[in-house]
Amino acid sequence: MGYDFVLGGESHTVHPIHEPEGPNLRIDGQPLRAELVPGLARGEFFLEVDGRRERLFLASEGDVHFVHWRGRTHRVEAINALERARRAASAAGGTEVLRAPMPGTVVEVATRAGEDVVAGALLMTIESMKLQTAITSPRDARVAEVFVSPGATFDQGAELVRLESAEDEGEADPGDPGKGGQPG
Amino acid sequence: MMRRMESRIDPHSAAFERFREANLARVGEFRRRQQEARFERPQRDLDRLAHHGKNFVRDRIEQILDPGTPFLELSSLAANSEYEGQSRSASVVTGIGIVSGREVMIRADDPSIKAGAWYPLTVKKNVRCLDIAIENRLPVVHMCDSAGGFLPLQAEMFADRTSAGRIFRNQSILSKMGVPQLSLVFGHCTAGGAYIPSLSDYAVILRGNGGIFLGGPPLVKAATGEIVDADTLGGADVHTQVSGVADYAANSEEEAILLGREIVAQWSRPEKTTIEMREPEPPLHDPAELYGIIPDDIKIQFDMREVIARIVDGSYFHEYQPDYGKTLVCGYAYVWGHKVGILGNNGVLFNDSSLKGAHFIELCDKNRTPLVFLQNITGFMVGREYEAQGICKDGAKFIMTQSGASVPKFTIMINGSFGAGNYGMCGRAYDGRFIFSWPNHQIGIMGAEQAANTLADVKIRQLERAGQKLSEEDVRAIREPVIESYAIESSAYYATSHLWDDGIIDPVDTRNALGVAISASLGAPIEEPGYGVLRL
Repeated sequence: MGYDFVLGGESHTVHPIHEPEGPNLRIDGQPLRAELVPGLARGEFFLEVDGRRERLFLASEGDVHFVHWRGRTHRVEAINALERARRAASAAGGTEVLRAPMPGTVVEVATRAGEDVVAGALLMTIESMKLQTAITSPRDARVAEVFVSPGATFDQGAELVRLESAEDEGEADPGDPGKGGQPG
Repeated sequence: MMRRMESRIDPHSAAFERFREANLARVGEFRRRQQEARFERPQRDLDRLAHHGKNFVRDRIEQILDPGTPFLELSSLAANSEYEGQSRSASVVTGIGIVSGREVMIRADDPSIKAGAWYPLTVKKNVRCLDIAIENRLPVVHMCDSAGGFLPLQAEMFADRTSAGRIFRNQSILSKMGVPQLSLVFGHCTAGGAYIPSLSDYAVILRGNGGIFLGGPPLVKAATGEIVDADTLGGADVHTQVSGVADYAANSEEEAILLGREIVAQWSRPEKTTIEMREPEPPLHDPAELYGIIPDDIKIQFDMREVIARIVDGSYFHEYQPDYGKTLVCGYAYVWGHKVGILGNNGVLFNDSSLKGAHFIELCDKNRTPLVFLQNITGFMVGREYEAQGICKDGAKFIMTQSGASVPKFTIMINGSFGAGNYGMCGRAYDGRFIFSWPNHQIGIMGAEQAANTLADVKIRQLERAGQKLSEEDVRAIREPVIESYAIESSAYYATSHLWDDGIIDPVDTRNALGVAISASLGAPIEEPGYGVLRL
């Protein structure tokens, strides 16, 4: 499993390969031998590629790396290949129904149909077994429908909120609000 | 190879700020109490120590440890709720540190409190410290300076299976296992205490202050009429030149400690058990944000993934069954370079989450991957539907596999620990290698409010059967004292006072505490996996 490196808007796939001598990387399918040797200064490295030796400086913040080389700074983002595949699949968006993780009561509804929400936004608070749980949006989306109101009780798996992609026009889709959700 | 965890918290939200303030206050209170237990003593006790030319116990420990290495102190607030708070840290300091390049358990009597006399909880802490040494094959350095058992409470610490006799039994078992022990005798080792250096492989005794005897001078006089001073009876020269009870005499505490370091340097270093390792790296998400994640009210739920992201190396996590049994988060991560399987509560345990937990534990056990339990659990789900689905037998599967797992287990009490949830998630009874608690932790057979309501209901029905009618005020008078005592007895301080854990830690220190604990646990081999019968 490799990483994708995004540099100047272009994505390159890098795989480490294990041969005692010869190439140790495959970049977009092309084998290459590269060594990164730390220098004495903070962030200083020497990169040796095909017999050439280049001095560069590296600073990293998580998976975003800043490479200072020959007077210019390049931003390189490393994206785990599996993460990229998942993002590509979920970017398709579409509708998604959030269901009750356990039976309980609605304490508070913090959103309404038509609202655009970001990932992590509080949609509602429920209470079950004396514990209050926040129901949050798993992604950036538009709230299509809220199936329950404060005070309502529901079973495990009941529909709480339906999300759709924010780009969708949000045309009315009545769905099946009666199933599982109970009016307050 | 694993993916980074994303954080969903908003560090600029009002709730984050409110939680942060509440948790900083809790940690401040913990630090204040810890400082008090470690260093605050009545002046006359410190004067007496100086008069005898003795160093403070914590200075002795600092001098024997390799400079600049970590020391994981255990149960620093033991006995804080007992004996009117007099027995600070239960009058003994224990912890894991590095001496001459070897990981060792330190067990040091504290002579600044009642001349180092042992209280019942001192005995419990000593036994626990040697249990840890046995389970993890950790060599032990004893720093002996105790007047013996605190006589007014002797009945609580003498005769039972886990009473004082267990200390000497554990020392003998350690020796049988080939795990070395060193005693540095800085003060008196009287009666049972005399067995600590006697049962150690190596013993250094200090000229002047050091003394080892089964009966001290007053007891000898009472028993036989013989009048003898302590030094003649059991001082350094008698024991290193005549009796052979100790091996080396030292003229100062400094000399004894340096000699001790040289002795430890002679011990061979057995190979550690190998597990999956990688180069350690700090979490990507800031551990200080934990303060804003743990709510100020135990009734408010939070996502345990946010905690995991701030404990594990690089915030990398491979989540197992992310869409099944979602109230139990399971997955693999690294802590200070050690591969672990993590189980964390995200709500009450249902049938599916119990099965997921049991399955994941079996995977880790077969894969030789140590387990880390992050507790925030109200218990298993109740109700007709769940009983009919067999919540009892699914919970039993979780408890059975967890009890039977042979890989090292570690538990962090992140927040609540109630009911059988404590059991499934490797509470004290399940022989995890270490348990650490956060200051906000609460523990009990059920939550304070439920317990108070249950007790009040029983009482009210009793009185009503007897023909009494209760006013609202009467009901309150029954409930309130119950809630109050329940709140005290379910607090982290009460729990740690009674050694239900191995100490309270600041949440930001969790990764470091786990790192030392996991490393220590690899001193012992991991047995072959094997389980009891699961009710399928």
